Parts: sequence; C-alpha cells; structure tokens
Amino acid sequence: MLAAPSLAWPYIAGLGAVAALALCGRPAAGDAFNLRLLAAVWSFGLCLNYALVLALGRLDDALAAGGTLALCFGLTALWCWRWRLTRPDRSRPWLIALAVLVIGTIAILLDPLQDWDARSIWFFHAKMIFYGGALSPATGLEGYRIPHPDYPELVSSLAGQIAWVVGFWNEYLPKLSLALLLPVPILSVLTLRRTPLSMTLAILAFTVIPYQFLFNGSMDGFLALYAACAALFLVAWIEGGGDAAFLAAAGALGVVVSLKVEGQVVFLALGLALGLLVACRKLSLPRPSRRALAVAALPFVGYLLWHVLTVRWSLPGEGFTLARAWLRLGDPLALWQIVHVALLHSRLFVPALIVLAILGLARWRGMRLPVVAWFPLIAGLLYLAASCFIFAMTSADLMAQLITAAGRVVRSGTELLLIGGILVVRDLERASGNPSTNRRAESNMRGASGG
Amino acid sequence: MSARRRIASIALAIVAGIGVLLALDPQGQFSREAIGDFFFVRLPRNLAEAGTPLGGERVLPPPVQHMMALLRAHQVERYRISPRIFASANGLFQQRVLEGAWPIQLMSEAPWYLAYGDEVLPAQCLLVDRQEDVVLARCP
Repeated sequence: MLAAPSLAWPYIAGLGAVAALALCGRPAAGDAFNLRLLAAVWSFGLCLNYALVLALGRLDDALAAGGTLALCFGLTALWCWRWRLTRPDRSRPWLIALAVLVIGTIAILLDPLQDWDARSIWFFHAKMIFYGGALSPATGLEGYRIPHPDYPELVSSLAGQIAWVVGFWNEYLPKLSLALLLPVPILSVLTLRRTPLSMTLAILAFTVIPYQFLFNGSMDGFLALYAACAALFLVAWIEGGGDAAFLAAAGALGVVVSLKVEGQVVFLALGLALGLLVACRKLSLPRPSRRALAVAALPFVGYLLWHVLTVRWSLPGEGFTLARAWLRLGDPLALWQIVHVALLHSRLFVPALIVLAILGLARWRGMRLPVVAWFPLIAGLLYLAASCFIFAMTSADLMAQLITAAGRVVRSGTELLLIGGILVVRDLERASGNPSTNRRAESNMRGASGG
Repeated sequence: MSARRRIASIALAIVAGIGVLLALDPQGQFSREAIGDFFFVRLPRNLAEAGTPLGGERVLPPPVQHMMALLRAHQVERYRISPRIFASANGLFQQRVLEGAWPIQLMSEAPWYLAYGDEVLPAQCLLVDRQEDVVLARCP
C-alpha cells in the first residue's frame, strides 16, 4: 500500500528529467536556476505521465512505459548533471519547503472526498479509470448520466494510477494526486526568497486564495496556483532567467491547460497580455535555446491528445452558446447578476484593494511601476472579463451557475492580480536593498513608464 | 537585510497571516472545539479508514450507503432508481449512488430497481431485500 505514496515522487521526477536533459551542460546559474529547473522537471513529469496514459490507454502499459522512461531520463539526467550534484542542501528555506510539502500532503490525505466537484467529476472519473484499468472508451466516460466526461483528466488519471498501484479504491489515497501538484507552487514561492516581503505575500496569496480548494479535491485552487506559477516563471524568463525559467513556465502552462477547462482561459489571458505588451514595445522576449524550444511543447501533448480523444470518443461537452451571451449582455438584470455574484465579492475586491494599495505605495515611494507587473495584472483582468463572458454563455440557469461556480472560478484571476502586486513589492524591496543587484528589473521599470 | 532579520520578518508576517485567518474564521474551523474534534475524533478515525478498501464512504448520506450496501450484497451489475430517489435532495442521492456504487452501473433499462420502502414498485417488480428505508427489487 505504501508503494504508490513513495514511488510516485521519483516516478514523476524521473519522467520530468527530460527538461533537465535539455539544459544539460549549462553553466551553474545560481539558486533561482536550480529552483526553476526543479519546477520544470516536476511539471514536465506530471504532463508526460498524463500524455502516456492518454496515448497508451491501459494503466499498466502507461505505468510500465512511464517507469522505463523515468528510469532512463532520470539516470541520464543525473549522469549529465553529476558535476552539479552536491550533498543535500540543508539550508533553512529548503527544510521549511520540505516541511510544507509534508504537512500539505498529510492535510490533503486526512479527510475523505466530500466536495461535490471532487466526488462527482475529478475523482469519479479517477474511480472509473481505476476500475476500467484504462482511460479508454471502455472506461465508461460516455455512459449514462456521467457528469462532464469531456473535462481534462490530468488529476483523474493520476488518482486512478495511484489506486491502481495501491490495489484498491478508497476516498483518501487517490487524493495523493493533489499532493503531487504541490512541489511546483512551493518551488515558485522559494524563487522569491531574496525578497522576504514579496515571498511572504506570495505565501499568503498561495494559501488564502485557494484555501479549502487545496484540500477538498476541486481543481480551482490548483488552477489558481499554477496560473500564478506560470506568471512568475514567465516574468523570470522575461527578466533574463534563461531556459530554466522558460521551461518552468512551459511546464506550469501545460499543467494549467490539463487541469481544468478554465485553464484554457488562463492560457489565453496570459498569452494575450504578453502579446499586448510585446506589441506595444513595453516588453521584449528573450530567445530560448533550440534544445529548450524542442522540449517546450512536451507539456502540451496531453492537452492536445485529450482534445483529439474527446472528438474521437464523441464525449459531450457543456452547453455554452454565443447567442445566449449576446442576449444576456444586453439584459441589465443578467449583467448585474454576473457582476454582483462574480466580481463584487470580498474574495475579489479585498485582494484588488491590496494590489491598488501596493501600486499607490510604489507611486508614493517614487518608483516607476515595473512593466513585468503589468503582465499578470492585465492577464488577471482579461481572465475575469472572459469568465464573466463565459458565465453569460451558459445554457443552464444563470443564477444557479453563478452561485455554484463563480466563487471558485474567479480565484485564478484574483491570484494573477495579486502576483502583479507581489512583483511591485519585490522591486520595491530590491530598490531599497541593493539596486545594483538587479539592473534588468530597473530597465523594465523604465519600460513601464514609457521611458 | 540580514538573514536573521529576513527570517524574523517572514515568521512575523506568517504569524500575522494566521492571526488574520483566526480572526476572520467565519465557520469556526479554528475554535477550541474544532481543534479538539480534529485531534481526538477525525484524526484517529481517518487514519484507520485511509488504509482500507472503500474507506471513507461514511461521508455519504445514510440512504445512499444503504443503497450501495444492497447493490453490493446482491452482486448487482446494473440498476435503475425510482423517480423519487432521482429527485431526492435536489439530485444529490442519485449523483452520490451513481459515483459511490461504481463499477455497478446506473442504467435506464436495468433489471434491478432501487426505491424507498414506502414507494409502490413498478408492475411485475418483486421485492428482494430491504435496508432501513431503502428497498431493492428485481424487475423483468
């Protein structure tokens, strides 16, 4: 029974080592490089495992192939990076991060599945995958009254695999799949350790915003976390973090689109925000190496495969129509309901006020707002606007849809807004500390003011 | 900023954050009773159940647990439910038995029929077993 909880960690790390292989031979680039490379390894591992389950169908085939690949990639990466291998780092932040991971895992596993979405969608699909021994038409996803069979299956397939290795189903152990999502957010918070106030704000944002959704089996909390991680890694890449940051961002985005349907909205919002800032010449994107570019598509293979399979298996989707959206957006009552339930709530406007206060503080301190901070802010606003539009498109009862979903769905937007504020605080800290340590950030500050 | 000061500021901010959480605790999740309940009731019970097959099903509504027990006791493969169960608790019972009993499958044309004990069974259906307020019937 302990095989799944203990083997899952080296299995995911081994599969994801393909990201480390792509950067093999790079010169040492400091602590942040290590953290981002580890984050890339982990998210690549999660996404590749998903792609293998979808490509091979049967769980035993996927686990056998995954285990072999994990062994090959892992050992080759260890050999390749052997000159960087040192005694385990026993510095305090690493130990604290490890403690957070252990406590988080225990907290996740302690309670049985109760939340509606967790039981009815994610872990019900996982149960079907476990009993079917496969993610295939025989699983039963297209069966009578199965809710949301077209939803992405990254966590469901992982939970099904865990139960498969354990040998039985219960309402606790498959939740280990949620614990396997924790390392990337923890590593991304650690990248802020040189600026303690921004790191503290990130810790609070990463716990208070997703809150119960970190433990109850709904994907919304983890979607918010991975949206924030993707934004942080993209910013690190823009600021010269190199290929490790680029691959960490690709991995986080791969998880984002494979976690939940709203992940596609997060992806589009981040892409549009980045495109907008690049088009306005506020930002310039560094050029990743060929090897990094070659592997950057791997985290998205599972997402693409799932879309092909949903069409092939004729899995029914949700009822959203543009015609309904135009009708509702022209109706003041419907518009008010959407704005009132989705946006005018303390879960959104309190973080928004905090971000506004941070922006005000930066102005008061005479700091030009860093352009990289605008990126998650714009992405967050785009995500919130898109979410409202999608609510308007629903063919279900609008109020029922808003009451059951709005509180969860807006969290990714809130998290992105907070990341914008955290980046401003980070640059304030850098400016008040040692300005010479971050010339790149200063140049981005100049960019933001149009100078 | 020195390392010691940095760690102190992080610790202080985290303590402040926890303080805010405690102060704003709307559902009383951090009250003395809730903490006692966690350590002396939930923790030992969950630890015992986490290692057993089907552990944790106690969170399901009692009628749903009875339905699942009936289906498993008679090694049912496919079943259908009465319209009243279907509508119970805004569809909650139907949904919970659908996912809880899996791989036993809910199908519209199945021979096994679940209903409440005080319901009239469809014509030609024979009562097979009863558990508390729920019955299992076999239909042609």
